[in-house]
Parts: sequence; structure tokens; C-alpha cells
Amino acid sequence: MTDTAITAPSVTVSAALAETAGSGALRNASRKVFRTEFTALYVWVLIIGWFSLRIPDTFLSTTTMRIIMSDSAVTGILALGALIAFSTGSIDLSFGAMAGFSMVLVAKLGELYHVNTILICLATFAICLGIGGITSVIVVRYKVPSMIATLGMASVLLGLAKAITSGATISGGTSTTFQAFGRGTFFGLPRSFCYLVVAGAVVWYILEMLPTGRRMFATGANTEAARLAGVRTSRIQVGGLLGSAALASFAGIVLAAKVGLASDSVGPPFLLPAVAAVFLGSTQIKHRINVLGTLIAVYVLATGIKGLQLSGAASWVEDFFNGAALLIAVTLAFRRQRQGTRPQGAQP
Amino acid sequence: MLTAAAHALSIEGLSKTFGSTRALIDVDLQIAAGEVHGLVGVNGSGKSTLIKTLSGYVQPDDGAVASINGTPLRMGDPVAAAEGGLRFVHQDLGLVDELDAVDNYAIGNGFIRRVSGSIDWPATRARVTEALGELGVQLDLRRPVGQLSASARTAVAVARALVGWRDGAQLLVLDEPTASMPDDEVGRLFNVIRAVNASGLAVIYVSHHLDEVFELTQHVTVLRDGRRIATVPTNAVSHDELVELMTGGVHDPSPTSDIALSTSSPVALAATSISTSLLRSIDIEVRVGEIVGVAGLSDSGREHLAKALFGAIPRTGTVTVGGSTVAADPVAAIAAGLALVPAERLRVGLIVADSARANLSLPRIAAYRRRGRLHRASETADAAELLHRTKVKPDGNPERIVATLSGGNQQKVLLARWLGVQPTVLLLDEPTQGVDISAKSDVHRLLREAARNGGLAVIVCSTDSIELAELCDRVIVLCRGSIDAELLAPVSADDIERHCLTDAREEIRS
Ligand SMILES: Nc1ncnc2c1ncn2[C@@H]1O[C@H](COP(=O)(O)OP(=O)(O)OP(=O)(O)O)[C@@H](O)[C@H]1O
Ligand SMILES: [Mg+2]
Repeated sequence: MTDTAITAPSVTVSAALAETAGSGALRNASRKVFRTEFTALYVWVLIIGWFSLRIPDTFLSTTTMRIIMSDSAVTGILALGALIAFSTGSIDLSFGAMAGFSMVLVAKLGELYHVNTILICLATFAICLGIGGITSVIVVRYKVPSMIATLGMASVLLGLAKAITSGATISGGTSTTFQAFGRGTFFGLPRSFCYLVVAGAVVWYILEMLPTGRRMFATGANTEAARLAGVRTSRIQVGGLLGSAALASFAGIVLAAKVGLASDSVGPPFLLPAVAAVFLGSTQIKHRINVLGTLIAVYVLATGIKGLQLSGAASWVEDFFNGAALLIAVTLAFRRQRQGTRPQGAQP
Repeated sequence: MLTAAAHALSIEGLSKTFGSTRALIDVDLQIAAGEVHGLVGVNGSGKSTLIKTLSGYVQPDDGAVASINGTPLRMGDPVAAAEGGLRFVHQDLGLVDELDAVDNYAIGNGFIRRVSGSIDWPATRARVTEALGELGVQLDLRRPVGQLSASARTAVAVARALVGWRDGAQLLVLDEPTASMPDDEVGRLFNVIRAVNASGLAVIYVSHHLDEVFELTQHVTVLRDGRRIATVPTNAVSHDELVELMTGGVHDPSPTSDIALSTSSPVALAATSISTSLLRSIDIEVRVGEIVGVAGLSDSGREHLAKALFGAIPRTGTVTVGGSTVAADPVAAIAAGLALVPAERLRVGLIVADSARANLSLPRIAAYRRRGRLHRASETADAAELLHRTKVKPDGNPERIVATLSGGNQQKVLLARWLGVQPTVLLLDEPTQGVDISAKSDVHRLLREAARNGGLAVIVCSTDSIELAELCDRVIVLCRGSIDAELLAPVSADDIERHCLTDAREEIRS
């Protein structure tokens, strides 16, 4: 084998390539598929099957389907933001609070100033990006671990949101045109779901199809090695945190439009399910975090929780289910990492 | 043959399969009590895998039986290995980069405690200083080891492996400890190895530097393609016979083509007044087609020069390539045609969790953008071609995850990446560390060709005097941050070594 590699390496290369694709490794490949690559899809099918049998009337309705689609869209958009930050090596724990802040800000601005809705949305978006910029300076320039910096920023944002609402619900801030932005449908699909699909496609394209995506993953995996390979790692890290802030702000605006009311307690609970989805997604399809895996994970979790709620489960189920999913996903992800790569040495 | 009970270590029927790769096939190995046993083989032959099954980091296939001094050892179990008295210095050292030398040294059970149970820091620090002193190394104990030079990091790992060795250690295993170590430190490491060996500790020593194997070992075992090919008394084989056993006879040590360097060749890179925390106002010039070597002991500045020229570390002074000044920044350096192969391939060279393809294409990933998206097919084709050119084993599959390659093959991937960029000036820091003897001459041939026929200018910083002697047109010896001597080819390894060591002695006297 090694000797042939010296005399005829090109043959060995093509043979090795053929082996991964060809029938020789079919058994191997199918074992892999059944083990981890697409398990979330099977779990999804099982969940749908189970609830379809148990509660066919409520679960199998188009209303339920639409509710799952649109309710989880916000989680999905937030998960995409978290994924952007994760891919560059930063852990963003502030996006839930950022979404909540963005939501109350857009509603408050709408209540105070009766100007064009688009203008109000843009102002909100700009303010959120500014705050994301502050976070990224703290992380990239002053080298504060992203987890700590964003944890602090999350609390700052929650405080700001409370200051804006003064503890009350803002109800007069959303015009009907603005609400249509979050509530209507495109081609019969909930608008928020369509936003998610578009955002997912854009993020996917950047991460998987553009040089930028390679630079992001390289920076996330080994910043110094990426820098010495000519990647502007500081820029990439700033971009990762700004991307997360941008999507969180967008999610907050969608949320305000969907709900029509805004309160400071809405945003933060989105943190956990979105993080769970990113980690669960990283055990799917590819051996690293990826867009499709994340989106599938969002909907697997949402479907399971909806089914349980419709079966009359108590309210603690949602937190429990999301938390358990996160723990299982992270355990799987780390176990696979240990098996797949270097046996010793620190985990990233 | 001695009886099993007298063996410091006995292994029978050891196999390890990674997916479709058979890294070890039915290997038997006996280490006699009190001996130093060499373990050699070309890159990817299974040396590190054997050692990792011993230390318990890798689970062997079923059927392996092992014993230490007659006591059965459960392989693939780190706790059993530690309790059995096995001590390791792994190829990737396994240090915690963020911690300092004291913490790394003491983290297992090296802390000295007060009666109250709290750590006695001054005593612990003194102990670390002493242990490193025996290895001839002085270093800033407060710096995270991630910032130390390769040889200093090795010293920390060796010192740690020997913590309290008098209390029950049976076998010390060293996997290529000298891959990037200057000669004087190699000498002192050998003194330490001989000293612990004289007190009865058996040693397994892995190296691609066969002269070291001849100097140190009593027996040598050869692995090839995962099989044990031979175990022989070291003094019963010659250098060439050993190489023959390792390679199976495919090694071609044909001399490098010797096209003379044209004297009218223009200057490719000129650097003036380069200073860093180690370098003191160095001036250096390389001409098109020229290969310049840089030798020097630890802290001589040798370990900074390549990185400083590339702008990977903060520096002052000017670097000009083809007449125009290059900013001290990797992006600018690459744009100007510079390329750097750094010494620490795992820490700052490669992204080991990624495929060989992604690692190879990273510095010029923008070039693969066609019609708004990455062109995967040409990226894969280029990667396959580079892996073929540098003979990366076992299969040259571009999708192989770099972490699953052997150490020497990882090094070849790093070299291939920067050759693939087709730079005008190639800066190399320990370019062939961990690369086996036959692959090393391949790499040298590749570099000579690229220099003479392709007009590449090369600067090679290396602790390997033989490499410098073989490869370079001119060797610069650094001492305490300044250029101390300039030796023109033909130059011998001994000359280089002598210059470095004389400098060291003067340093001590002054
Ligand atoms: N985790 C892994 N997954 C898959 N293959 C692996 C893994 N680790 C090692 N291998 C393969 O096992 C073989 C033996 O590797 P090993 O690291 O033992 O070689 P080595 O003799 O130490 O080489 P070197 O001199 O280059 O360090 C190689 O073909 C390598 O690619
Ligand atoms: Mg090895």
C-alpha cells in the first residue's frame, strides 16, 4: 500500500476517492449514516409518527404545522446568528437579550415617533449593530473571552430593555403595515418562515460557497494558524459577532411585528433553544456546525415540544426538553470529536 | 532471548485498525530490563500509534497482551499505564499551552505541598528550575508554554515525564524528542537519558535521526507499514542497512543536482536592522535561486528570524522584496510573495480538524472563486497534485482529516501548502522536523529544484546541522541575536555545530 503510494500515487488517490463513493465502502457509509449523520431526521420522523397516532386531530392540522413553522422561525434566525459567531470561534450568549432589546426598541420608537416604519426598523437595526460593535471591540481588541463579554452584554441589554419598557408592555408601537411584515404569508407560507429560509440560504452560501466561509471556519478552529496563512482573523472575528448581532436584531423586529406587543421578558428565553439547535445541528450532516443541520434541529425540537404541549403536558416540558436536547447534543458532539481527531490535547 | 519476566516491557500480538488503515499489524516487542531501545520506521509506519496504545490514548484491537516486568498490563488504559510505571513524552508533547512551565510540570503530581496541604510555590518552582537545568534549559517560568520555543516546550515535557521517576517508574518512552532541538540540548538530553537509564529505567527512543539511535540504543526495532520488520542489536547493523530495513529498499539517496548559483543573480529579499525581543539589528540578503541556512542555539534568534521576516511576530526594521518594502503583517507578506513554514506545525501551522484539502488551499482560497463561488473541483485537483508531489501517505486522499495523518506526513502537508502558493521567497523554520530520512532527501531535492530552476529564494532556519550542510549555499550562524559567522558551501555539519557551540561557550565565559 505505502509502496504503491510512492510509485503510483495518482492511482492510489483515485482509488481512495472511489472507495469513499463506491460500493466497497457501502457498508461503512450506511453504518455512518445510521449512527450520526442523519439521526435527527429519523428522530423527527419518529416524533411526527408518534404524535400523529396519539393526537391526530390536533397535531395533524395545517394550523399546527403553520404555528410550528412560524413560531420556530425566530429561533431559527437566532440560531443562524449564533452559528456565524460560533464558526469564527466566538461564543455569543447575548443574542437572546439582543433580540428582546431590538423588539422593545422598535416598538418604543414606533410609539414615540410616527414616521415611516422602515426608518424605525433601520434605526433599531443600526443601534443593535452599534452595540454588537462594542462587544466585538471588547472581544477582539481587548481579548476578553467572548463568552464572558457577551454574558455581560446580555445583562446590559436586558437592563436597557427594562428601562425602555419600564416594566410595562408596549402595545401602541406597531402599525398594521408593520404587523403585516411579521404576520402575513408569502405563497401560503408564514412570512417569518420565509425570512428564515432566505437568511438560511444567505448564511449557507457565505459559509459553504465563499472563501469567506473558509476563513471563518479556519479562524474558529485555529486563529493563529489562520492568521499566519494570511487570514485577517480580527476582521473575521468582528464580522462573526456583528453577524450575530444583526440577525438577532432582525429576529427582534420580526418578533415585534408578529406579536404586536413588546415586553422585556420575550427575548432571553430564545437563547437556550437556539444554542441547542446549533450544537445538535453540528452532529448532523457534516462533522462540524452547519446551516442545514441547525435548521433541521430547530424544527425537530419545535415539533417535539409542540406535540407535547398539544398532548396536554405541563409548561415545564419546554425548558426540560430544550435543556436535555442541548446536553445530549453537546455530549455527542464532544464524544465524536474525541474519537475523530487527536486523542490527546485540549478540545477547542 | 531473556525470559519474559526479565523484560521491562513485553508486547505480543498488538494490532490497531483505524477505519481502513491498518496502523499496526500483529506487532511483538520486547524491551530488556535496563536497556535503551530504539524504535524506527518511515513516516506513518506506526511508531506513534504503538506508543499511544501503550499510554492508553489509543485503544488497541482485541488480542494484544502486554506485561511490565512480568506484571500484566491492560493496554489502552491510561490509568493502568501510569500505575504500571510507564512515562511518556508524546510527539505532540501534550502540554497545556495556556499554563506556564511550572503548572505543566507539576499538574500530574509534581507540586510540593506544605504540611497544611497548600502548594509550596517557591519550592515547586525551584524543583522545576532544577529539572530544566539538568536538561540545560533556562526559561521564563511565568510565560505560558504556548509562547515558548519548540525545544523549550520539549524540555518541559521531558522534565514532566521524569517527575518522581525514582518512585516506581519502569519505562520512559520518548517520541521524537529532538525533532526541533539544537545540538547542545540534544547532548544534555542524552546525558539525562543515560543517567536515568543507568539507575535501571528502561527507555524506548523514537527518532528519525539515526545517528542518535546509534549513539544511544542497544537494540533497535524497525517498523514498516505497521509490521515489525526486525529487532537487532544496534551495533550489528550499519546505517545503510537500517535505512534499507526501514524503507524496504526504495530509498534513493541520489545527490542533489548541483547547478551552480549564478553570480549575477538579483537580490530577492533584503532585510535591514531586523530586531525582535531576541534579534539585534540583523541584516540579511537572499538572491534569486539561493538557499541560505540559519543556525544557532536556543535564544540565539534563530527561532525568531523566519517569523520576523514574515511579520508573524512584532519586529522593527525593513524587509524589501523585489525592491519594494513589505509591511510587518502576514497578509502583506503573502501578497509580496513571501511564504512561511512555521516551526510549530500543530499550534500555528495546520488546522488539524480540517481536511488536507482545506489546509492546502487556505492561503490562496480567494483564487478558487469562480463565478461567485468556490470551485471545489479545481481545489481538490490541486490538493491531490500537491499531496502526490510531496508523497503524503498513506493514501494522498485530499479529504483526509489532517489529525489522522502521522506527524511526518502532517509536516509534509504544511510544506506542500506553501510550495503550492508558489512564493518568490520561502521562509522555513525546522522544515523537515519529524520527516523520515528518505522523505527528507525528497524534500531537499524539491527545494533545490524550486530554487535553481524555479528561481525561488529560500531561508532555512534549522537546528539540524546535517540538513543545513546538505541543503544550503550559505549558512549564517546566529549568536545572542547577532550574526556571528557566515559559512559558504561546501560546509560540513561539524563546522556548523562547532561554530554554534563555540559561541555558546564564549557566552558562558562572558
Ligand atoms: N486517528 C487516526 N485515524 C486514522 N488513521 C490514523 C490515526 N492516527 C494514525 N493514523 C494512521 O496510522 C498510521 C500510523 O501512524 P503513526 O502516527 O503511528 O506513524 P508514525 O510511525 O509515528 O509516523 P511519523 O514518523 O510520521 O510520526 C498512519 O498511516 C496514520 O495515517
Ligand atoms: Mg509519529
